[in-house]
Amino acid sequence: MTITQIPGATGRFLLSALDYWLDLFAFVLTALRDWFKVGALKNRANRQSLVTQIIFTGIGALPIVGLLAIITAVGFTSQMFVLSNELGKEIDVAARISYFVFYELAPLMTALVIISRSGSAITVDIGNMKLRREIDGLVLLGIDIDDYIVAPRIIAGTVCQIVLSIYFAVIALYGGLIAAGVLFSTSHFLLIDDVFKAVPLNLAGWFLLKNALFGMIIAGSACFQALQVNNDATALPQQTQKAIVRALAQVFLLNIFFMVIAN
Amino acid sequence: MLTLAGVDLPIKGRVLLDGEDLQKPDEKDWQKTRTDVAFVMSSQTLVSHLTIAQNLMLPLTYHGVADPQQAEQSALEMMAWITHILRFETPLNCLPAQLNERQRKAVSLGRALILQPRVLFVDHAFSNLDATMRGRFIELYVSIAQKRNVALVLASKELKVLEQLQTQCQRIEQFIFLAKNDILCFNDWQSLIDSEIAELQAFKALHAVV
Repeated sequence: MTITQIPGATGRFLLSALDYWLDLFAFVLTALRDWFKVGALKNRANRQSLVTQIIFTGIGALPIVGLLAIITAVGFTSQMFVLSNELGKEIDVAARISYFVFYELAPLMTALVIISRSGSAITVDIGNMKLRREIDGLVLLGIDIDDYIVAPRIIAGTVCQIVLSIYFAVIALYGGLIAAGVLFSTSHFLLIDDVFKAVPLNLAGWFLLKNALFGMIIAGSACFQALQVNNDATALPQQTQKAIVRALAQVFLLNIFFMVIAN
Repeated sequence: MLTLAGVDLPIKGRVLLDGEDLQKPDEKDWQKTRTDVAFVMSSQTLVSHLTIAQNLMLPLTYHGVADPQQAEQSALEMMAWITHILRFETPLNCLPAQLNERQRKAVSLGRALILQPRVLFVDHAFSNLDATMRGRFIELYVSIAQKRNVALVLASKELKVLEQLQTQCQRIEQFIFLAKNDILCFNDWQSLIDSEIAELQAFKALHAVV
């Protein structure tokens, strides 16, 4: 590639990224609009599909998210408490750490777990169904794929991202305090009350929005890429890889966007 | 086949069922059409992560036709009826991958019939079946048409089996031969066999022996 081709290539890349993002946005919106419009929650089969996905994405991820939160608490949050305690007033320490764990660390770490665990599983699951023409079979039975397959996964992804993020933050914060108290100085136990009082609740709306968007993007990308699988078996690993990479890129970009907005 | 079943749009003209146009843009009408007109593509279309019973119950629970208990009962009855005719067992609590080809074909037919459609389309109606099983599936198709009062549209390349079918079923309305550029209709089996059309002759030469 010569230097004169770089602007063109950059432009094409940006246009294709924008094109992809608009497609994904329309895809997620259509699936959710139909779900709420037709009252799909009243439908027992759809409800069952949603519950199954929540069990897999949410309850199934509790151990790994919990473990990551404990590792973060011991290896990271506890040291932040120690370090910040030496630098500032105790209440400042609690506020800064609470903010960082709740609004930055927890959504991002949870998103990473959901991408690697559920994002890839959703793509493989739906992609295989597409490959084996099970999706065609469902369509021929009058079953709406958006209602039965796509929307429950997006909703489950969104709900689980929010709940797991809170779960992660609580363990990482309290665990960090306990670890700091046990490993470094018992004076850190005095911060237990302050830590949760210091969580800036005025940012709760941003927290919910950020996590909801993360969940929608992860599950939406996974479903969107899975439905691109055609009759070629090699398309499945390619689409799975795309779903993961694109979800990661979008989550990080969105995180930067929220960091700028919230500050 | 897909056009006749109201799935694909015809390039020209309309597809009518009892005078009613099958092509409707509305979601509710589309679902109604799909419950009236069932289509079995091949045995591979069962949902692989659902058990056989769940596969059979899915159309009933999705369309809100029955509650889970009723749906389970209907699934049991449907498979009992089908396996009685086919004379082999099909376990309901296992996954589709654990079944053999003929069992999956039987379940696919059961799932298509469970909504009590008016018309049933079966593509590759006799593929991957041995001679004994073909005979039993003929019995099943005849029973579906006569006892369940369902209009059947079967697609097959196996002329010998179709000949056997037409001797067992008294009411075959039409034989349709899908040529490359034409659709040829015959009112009876003999006129299809006697036809001098070159493409049909070539097809007969190629597929008569099964």
